[in-house]
Amino acid sequence: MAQAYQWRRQYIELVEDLFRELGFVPPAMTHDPDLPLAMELEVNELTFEIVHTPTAQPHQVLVECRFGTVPEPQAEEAYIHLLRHNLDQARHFHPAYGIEAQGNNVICAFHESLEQASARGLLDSMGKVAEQGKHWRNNYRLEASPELHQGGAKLFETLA
Amino acid sequence: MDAEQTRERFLVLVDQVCEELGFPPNEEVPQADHALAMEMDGISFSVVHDLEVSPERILIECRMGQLPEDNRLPALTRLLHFNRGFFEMGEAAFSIDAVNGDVMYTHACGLHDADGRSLLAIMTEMSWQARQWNSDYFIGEDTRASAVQEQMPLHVGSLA
Repeated sequence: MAQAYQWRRQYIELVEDLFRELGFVPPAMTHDPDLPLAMELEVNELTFEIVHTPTAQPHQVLVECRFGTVPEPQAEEAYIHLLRHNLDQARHFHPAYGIEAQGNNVICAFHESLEQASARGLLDSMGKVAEQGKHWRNNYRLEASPELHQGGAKLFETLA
Repeated sequence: MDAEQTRERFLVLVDQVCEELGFPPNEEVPQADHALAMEMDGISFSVVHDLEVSPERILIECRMGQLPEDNRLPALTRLLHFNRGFFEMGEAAFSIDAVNGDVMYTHACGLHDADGRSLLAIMTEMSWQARQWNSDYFIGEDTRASAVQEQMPLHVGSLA
């Protein structure tokens, strides 16, 4: 229990640092350390979710970015491309691609160790994923997620 | 821990795996991107330790076989649905080897989090997935149900 709380505390501190790095005042958060906790933010017009799941990976955060959905006529080609890219990514311990079962939204995800993660480092990694996302959206004319906001880097919602 | 120490740790891990399987100890001379290649239940595995990529981590690769001739898009979609579920559990992903078209299943883990027994447990789960793939390409009824189960929505709390 004490260990779970410690990891959660580190996650919250990381989130608070992200708020500050983006020029926002961190809000007060209430949480149950035994339940998953997530924060959403937008970087370079792409939506990211930063998740802490105490039961599965207590010492890590999961960062997910939604690229959008692939139009049906291009799906086979795009999915093969995603999966081919995944092997190279895995061999370098880089982000991996998947799709949501509901809506087939393409997701790029990576993990960061809570012990080693920093807000600046996380934002740098997210910036690189956002670049990949833009590339994918241009190449496959991905249809953006409905919740996507327009504008530059900005925090638009916190789920605690 | 320096590179040489991580390589020694990897070789200890290899010996533990050999011991668990009742094989004689490994006698290969380690290379920079040393890999333990083995076959389990007729399925090919590699456990890769690459000093130049990430000395503290290993990647287990399982070669599952080719994509189906028919129903290719549903099979590709299912692989990517599973990936989305894996994100929440750890660093596993399905991919495709661009060289020969084989579907691959990779699982990354920290060198110091693994021992021979835990590695074999991961490989047993991977070989189960490979058998399932070769049985129905993950588009049979049973596999479809488990893919959806992997993606149960996160519980989220609220801001204070």
